[in-house]
Amino acid sequence: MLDLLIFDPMVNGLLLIYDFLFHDFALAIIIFTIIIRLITLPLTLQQQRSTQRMQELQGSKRWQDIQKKFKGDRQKLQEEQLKLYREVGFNPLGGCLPLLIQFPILIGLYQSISNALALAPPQLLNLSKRIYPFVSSSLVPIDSTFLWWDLGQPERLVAPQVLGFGLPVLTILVVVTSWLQTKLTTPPSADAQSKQMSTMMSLYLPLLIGYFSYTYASGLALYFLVSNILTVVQYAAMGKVNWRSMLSLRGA
Amino acid sequence: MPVSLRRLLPALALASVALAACSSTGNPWPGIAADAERAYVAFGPAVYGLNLDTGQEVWRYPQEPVRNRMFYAAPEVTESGLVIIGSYDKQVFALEADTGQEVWTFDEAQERIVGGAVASGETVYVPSADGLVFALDADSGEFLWSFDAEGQVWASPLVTDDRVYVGSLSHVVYALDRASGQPVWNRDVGGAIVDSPSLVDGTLVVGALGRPLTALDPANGEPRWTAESDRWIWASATSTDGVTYFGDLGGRLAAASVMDGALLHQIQLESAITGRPAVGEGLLFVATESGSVHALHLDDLGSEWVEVVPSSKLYGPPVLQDQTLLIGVVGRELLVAALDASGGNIRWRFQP
Repeated sequence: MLDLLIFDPMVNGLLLIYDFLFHDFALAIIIFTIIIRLITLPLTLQQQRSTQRMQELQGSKRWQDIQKKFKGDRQKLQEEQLKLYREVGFNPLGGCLPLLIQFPILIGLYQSISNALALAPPQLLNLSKRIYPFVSSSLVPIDSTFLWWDLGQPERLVAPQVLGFGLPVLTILVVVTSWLQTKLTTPPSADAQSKQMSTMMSLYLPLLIGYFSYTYASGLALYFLVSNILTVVQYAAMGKVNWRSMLSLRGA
Repeated sequence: MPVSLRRLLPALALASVALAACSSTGNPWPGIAADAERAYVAFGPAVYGLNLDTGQEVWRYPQEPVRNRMFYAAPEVTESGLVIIGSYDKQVFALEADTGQEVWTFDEAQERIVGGAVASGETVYVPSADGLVFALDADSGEFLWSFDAEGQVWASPLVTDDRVYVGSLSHVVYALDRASGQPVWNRDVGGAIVDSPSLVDGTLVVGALGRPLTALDPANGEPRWTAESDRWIWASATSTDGVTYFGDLGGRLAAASVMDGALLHQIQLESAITGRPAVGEGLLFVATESGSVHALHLDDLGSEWVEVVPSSKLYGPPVLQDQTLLIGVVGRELLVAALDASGGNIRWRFQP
C-alpha cells in the first residue's frame, strides 16, 4: 500500500522532474524537495502552531504552579498536566503527529532516490517495475554525477595533494545547517525540561542526520541540506526565527 | 542520564534503524554455473563449489569473509578447469574448479563487476561497471586489451569466432574485434541493456529496458526487426531452431520467429520473468519471480511440468546441466534448488 500511495508516485515524480530539468539529478532532487516541502506545508504549520501553543502553556502561571506543587510526585504531576491540557483544549500529540506523518515521506524520498539511481541489479529491477507507462524508459539509468559527487555514493572530496584523505564536504554542510536550523527555529522556553530537550536536540539531531549523510548516498544528504535551508527560509519568512538563540551555545 | 535524554535516544535510534532498514530496496540473487561434476554458486561473501549430484559443499572461496568483497556475478568455467568470477570489490579471481584454490587475480577494474565473465579459447572477457570490458589470458590473468563502453556494463559479453558483442546500460550495443578489442560498430537501441545479446541463425537479438526485443545484423548493427512486449524486457532472449523465446516483467512469455520477429506463441505466467529461459531436453525452462519453475514445450509453449519452490523469489536464469536444472533462490531457507529436468522433482537444496 505504501508503494502504491507514496513510493511509486514519488519515484516517478522524481524521474519526470529529472527529465524536465535537462537530466540533472542534483537539480531534480532540489526541486523535488521543494515540492515535497510545499505539499507537507500544512503539516509543518500545524506542528509550528502546536509547538507555540505548548510554549505559551508552559509559560503560564498555572503550569508553573503545578510544577512546583507536584515536584516530588511524578505520577500526580502527569495527571495534573493532562488535566490542564484537557481544560484548555490542547492535544500534546498535535505536534508529534505531523512529524510522524512526515517520516514515511522521508523514507519514500530516500527510496525514490535510491531506486532512481539504480546502483545494482536489484535496485534497477525494482525501479523497472515501478515506472509508470508514460515515463520514458530512456531516462534509465540516471546520470548520477554532479560536480565531484556521485549522488549514489557517500560524498568525499578527495584532494590528495592537500589533505591526503576524502573530506565529506556535504556532510559538514548538512551538520552545520542542521544545527543552525535547530537553533534558529527553536523558540525560547521557560520550562526547564523543555529547555534541556532543546539543548539535546540541537546537539544530537545534527549528529544523527550527519551520520546518515556520511554513510548513505549523497543524494539523501543533498535532500537534508536543501530541506534545512528551506526550513530556515520558511521560518524567517514567517518572522519566527529566533536569531538571538544563535549567540548561545546552550539550549534556547 | 537525564530523563529527557533517555526518552530522546531511543526515538533517535528507532529513526536510525527505520531509515537503515528502508535503505535496502531489493535483494541480490546468486550467480550460478555448472560443469559435469560441480555446480558453482556465487553469493554474498563467497563462491561455493557443490557436488552436482548431491549438492554437498566441496569447497568455498574465500574460507572467511573478506571486508567489502561480495560475489553476485555468474561464475564461468574455462576449458582448463578454472572458475573465473568477478566481485563487487572490483577484482577478478581465477579459482581451481576442483579445489577452489586461488590461481590468479586481476585488480585493474575501477568499479564493481556485476556481470559474469565469458571464456572462449584461451581468453576470458570480463565486463565491469566502470564501462570497461577486459580481455585477459584465461590461464594467467594477463591483461590483453580493454574497451571503454562509456556506460556501465552489467551484461556478460557474447563471444563468437571473430567478434565480442557488448551491451551497456547506456543503451548501446557494441561489436568489437575479438583479437584487438577495437570497435567495429555500435548501435543505440534506446534502452538500458542488462543482459547479454544472443546470436542465432545469423541474427543478433537484444533485450533492452522499455524497448521491444530488437534484432540486429551482427555484421553491421543494422536493425532487422522488433518484437513488442507488454512490459519491460529485463532478461535477454534464448533462441533455438529459428525461434527466439523471451519474457517480460509482466510475466508474459513469447516465442517469435528469428527470421522476422513474427509472434508464434505467447503465454501468461504468474509473475515477472527476469532470468533468460534455458533450453534442453526438448523443453524450455523458465523461472518466475513468485517462485515457480516451468518446463514448456518448445513448439507451442504447452506445459510439461511446474514446480513451486516454497517461500522463494526467483530472479536469475535457470542453468541446465546433465538433466539437472539449477535454480538460484532469493529466500531465507535456501540458496540453490536442483530440480530433475524431466519431472521437476527437487533433487537437492543448498543453503550455506
